[in-house]
Amino acid sequence: MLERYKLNQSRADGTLVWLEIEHTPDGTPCLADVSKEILGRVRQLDNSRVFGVIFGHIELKPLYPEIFSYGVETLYEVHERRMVRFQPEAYAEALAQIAVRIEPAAILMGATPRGRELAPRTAALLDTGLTADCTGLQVKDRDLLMTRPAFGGNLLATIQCTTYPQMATVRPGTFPLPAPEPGREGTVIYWQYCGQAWKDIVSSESVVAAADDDICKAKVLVALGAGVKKTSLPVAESVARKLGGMVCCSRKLVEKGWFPASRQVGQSGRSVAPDLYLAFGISGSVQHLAGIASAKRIVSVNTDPEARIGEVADEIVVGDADAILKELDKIL
Amino acid sequence: MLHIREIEPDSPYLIDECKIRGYGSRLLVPDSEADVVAAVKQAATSGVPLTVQGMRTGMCGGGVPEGGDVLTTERMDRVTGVGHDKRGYFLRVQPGVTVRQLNEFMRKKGYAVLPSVTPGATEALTSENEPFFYPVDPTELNGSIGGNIATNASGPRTFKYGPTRDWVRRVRVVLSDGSVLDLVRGQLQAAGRRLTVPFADGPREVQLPSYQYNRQVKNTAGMLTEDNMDAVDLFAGSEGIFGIITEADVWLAPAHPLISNIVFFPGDRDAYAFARDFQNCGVMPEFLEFFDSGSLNLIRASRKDDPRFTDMPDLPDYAGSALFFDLLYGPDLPVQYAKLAPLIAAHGGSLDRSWCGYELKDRERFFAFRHSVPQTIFEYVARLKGTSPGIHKMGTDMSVPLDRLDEMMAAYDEVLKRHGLEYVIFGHIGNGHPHVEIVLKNMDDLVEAKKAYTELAERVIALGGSPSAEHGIGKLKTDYIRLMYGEKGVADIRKVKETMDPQWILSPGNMVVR
Amino acid sequence: MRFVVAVKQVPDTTLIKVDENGSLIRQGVPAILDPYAEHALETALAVKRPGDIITVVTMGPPQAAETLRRCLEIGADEAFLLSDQAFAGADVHATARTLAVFVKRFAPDAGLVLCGKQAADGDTGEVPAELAAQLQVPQFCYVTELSRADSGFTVVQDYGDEIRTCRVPAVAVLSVAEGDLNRRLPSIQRFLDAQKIPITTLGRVDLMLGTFSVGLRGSRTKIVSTQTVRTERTGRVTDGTDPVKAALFLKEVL
Repeated sequence: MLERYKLNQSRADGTLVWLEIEHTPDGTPCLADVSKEILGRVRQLDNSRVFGVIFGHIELKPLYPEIFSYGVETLYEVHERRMVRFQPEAYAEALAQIAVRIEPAAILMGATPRGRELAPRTAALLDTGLTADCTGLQVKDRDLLMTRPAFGGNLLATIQCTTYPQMATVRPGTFPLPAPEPGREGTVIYWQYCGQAWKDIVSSESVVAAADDDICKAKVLVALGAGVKKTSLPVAESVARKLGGMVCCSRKLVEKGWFPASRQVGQSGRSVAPDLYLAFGISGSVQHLAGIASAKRIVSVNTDPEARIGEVADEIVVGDADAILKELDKIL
Repeated sequence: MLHIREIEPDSPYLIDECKIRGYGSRLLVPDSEADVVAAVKQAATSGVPLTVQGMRTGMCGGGVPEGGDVLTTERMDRVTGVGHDKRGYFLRVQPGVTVRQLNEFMRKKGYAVLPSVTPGATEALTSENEPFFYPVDPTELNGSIGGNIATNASGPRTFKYGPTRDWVRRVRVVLSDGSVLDLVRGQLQAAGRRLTVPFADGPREVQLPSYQYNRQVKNTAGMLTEDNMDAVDLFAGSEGIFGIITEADVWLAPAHPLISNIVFFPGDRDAYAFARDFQNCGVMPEFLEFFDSGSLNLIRASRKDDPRFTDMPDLPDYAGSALFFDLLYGPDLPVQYAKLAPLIAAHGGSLDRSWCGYELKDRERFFAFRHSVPQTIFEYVARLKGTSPGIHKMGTDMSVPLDRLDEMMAAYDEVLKRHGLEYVIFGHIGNGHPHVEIVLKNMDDLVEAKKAYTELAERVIALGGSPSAEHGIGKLKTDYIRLMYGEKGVADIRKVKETMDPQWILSPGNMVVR
Repeated sequence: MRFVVAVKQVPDTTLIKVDENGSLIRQGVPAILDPYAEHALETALAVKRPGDIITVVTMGPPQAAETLRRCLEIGADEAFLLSDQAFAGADVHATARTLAVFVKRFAPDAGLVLCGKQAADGDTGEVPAELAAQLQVPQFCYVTELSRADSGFTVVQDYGDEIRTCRVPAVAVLSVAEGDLNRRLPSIQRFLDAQKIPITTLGRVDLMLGTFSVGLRGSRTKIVSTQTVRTERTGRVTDGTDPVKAALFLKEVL
């Protein structure tokens, strides 16, 4: 009888999204892309109410129209100057209090470093479950079906939360950026945080771009091997810059003195796992291939169609590495 | 298919670890034994010699061509089968498999899908609880098995397990006339010093050299020769001058869990003395490697430049010299340590002043630490190549019987200091074979070093040792044959070569010249 | 003071192979101390002063005691194994709950609780923050440096777009990211001494937790289904004799 009349079930309804605020280099606050992506997905999934939460002060006001244009109907702003900077304990407390008030069916946020710190604390305060780093969201009635890769990347698991509110952090880039609908209206409710969970911050430095010399951190690597001429080095640097990556090389070029050892990829150099490994003039010795085994995509340009690197490459272009590198630089 | 390419003057196929550049016209890359046969037959017709290469990690120019064509085995790099005989399990391998690949393969149990060469071998090996491994571990793990067999390579573990030769069950060789010889150990032996080798056009009588080959110490000076020698040993250790290895069976040993240890001593002499006494304390390590104060200081200096150099903690100040050894990791380990403790204390060390680790990744750190000494020197020389293109590494490779070790260490010190050379000593002290690496700073040092080298070689032979313990002869050390065995020895080897390869088309220049 | 370091035993990911379906073969792969947890332990050891105690704890099967032994060899002072059939299937929530109760009952005087940022076998790094909330103490994630002065601890946190330095109160949970500490090795003497330190095993009842607070029953998420995704290297060959065309092709592909 309880089942048939759907009695004794939670009244939880609606989705609450934490809207993460980022700052442009000149200090202007803006809405993080991942938050927009989540809002876009939520609008697609069902027509229940969409709540947003942001933390900060008057600098947030210019963002309201944009926030509403992505579908937020009611925006809770935890209005507190000290919360302009990320305060995980205070944020979590406030978020939990708001969740208790509005009883959402789901609370979502981006799986950014801050999101991944905030979500679990909030989940613990609400005594609920959290699925982290999701790559898929589906809805069945008010139940969220969350998909995420299981260990190893070749297995996908679909997970459900057994309590309300269901919480998830979503991997940035999973969902496309939605088209905003300007002119949509919404309500802003100022929420007062009365707690005292403040961090004792000694200093905070913004890092604009990680100007690293660490090829292991690069997402894109332009790799040069014995098959290229010395004149191609600056060209490679240019291509790498344009692709947002770095230049690395095989052992031969370190031996020749063209690169320092820190740029060497391979068994006796570094192991790298970039999203893209663009190899020019690399034959692919056993030692070298050992260093790129975890690269997500490998593209090889080499005059030798039977170069060993072909065994692990996704794309093989048979041609003159120097010439193609030069042309690539021109068109990027 | 036999791939053929032109060789550019700056091609990596013209150079090996000795860093001296050779010259050649074409690069031949076989995919299979049939391709090797075709290449040899072609060479026999044209008279153009073939220099055979594995991974070019040799130290004496054995793979460096002096004209003619180059044949590389790098594409023949598969493990093809598992077998079992009364000695134990063995793997059938192609010559281009590297030692590193072989042991990775064993660690990841890649053999589970291989065909059985003897009935049921794959299933039996797969169902074994204990893992197995190939125990000969030259520090350069990227060397090919074919090359290792041809040069009878050794490594630290040779202390306990012996050199490559002892683990070769079978070789399949392409002879100079293109015919293929398949030899299992025990199948064909010399009668005294006369060995009959079957060629396509009939059997040939090989007269093995008459000199005494020193097997008391680690020795790769020249080809093995002894009464009733097994035919497999005609090819194992002869540096590719009698035939090209296209397949081999190598035995495996059970791999026991191990714990790596580095024990620090106040000074070099304390470490030598400890190494000498280790033999008698009732503990048998897998290997015994030595670092002198020079090599530890080299590591300290490299770490100042790059704190990430060697993934090990900082060397403590009290570390004057060090000994590195692996012990069997089992329930009796505390007993082993209890036996070692008084010996260590007697020579100025203590169980406190040591490092140990047994997880695989920690043991790899120890191994990399050991390798970092020659590595630093290699990088140093590579940097100098810009200003002094003729420069190369200069390390001694001499072994003496253990009871003459002290005398030899004194000789190194005296001779090298007299020639004004800086050096570090590290390596296989357990085998009486420490590497003395001369730190060359310019071409003048190189000249002095060569002189010192010859002096030391004579001293070593006088002490009953070998001037080429591990690196072989190749093209750089042909003088040692004369030094050790006289003109007669050189002539004897030449005669074997004339019988096995009258046209001198297989790796000419190695070990003996025309 | 007392440090508590939560560690985990994981399969050695460098040795793991993938079967025809693309899923991992865990069987026969040796287990090691999770490298991130090891780094957290190194971080604590680096700031340890005479008189401090480092307690390591792990939740796992009986075999996980090997990992605790390893921590003792590296330098921890005491070790606890939380092991019970009832703990099986625990999600982040149940794990954090179990650890929190352990800290409250067996290490109530703990100052800093350190965890690795995440575990190498695919755990998602949520336990430290949930643990902090359950213990009702502040949390500091992405810690790259921990330093200690007489006045207390300071951490440097790396959020990617912000590097933040904070003072740490007397009691807090730290989640430690990768760092530059060269991992230490025990001396032979330390190794021998560590074999003699007892490891205490605690079950559900020792922790006084109810059956619905732990393991699968205490979890707040459940896996409904799994599916495999195939990825293979395609190895498509393209003719690049014309550099201009080849460059255009590359641009498409990138």
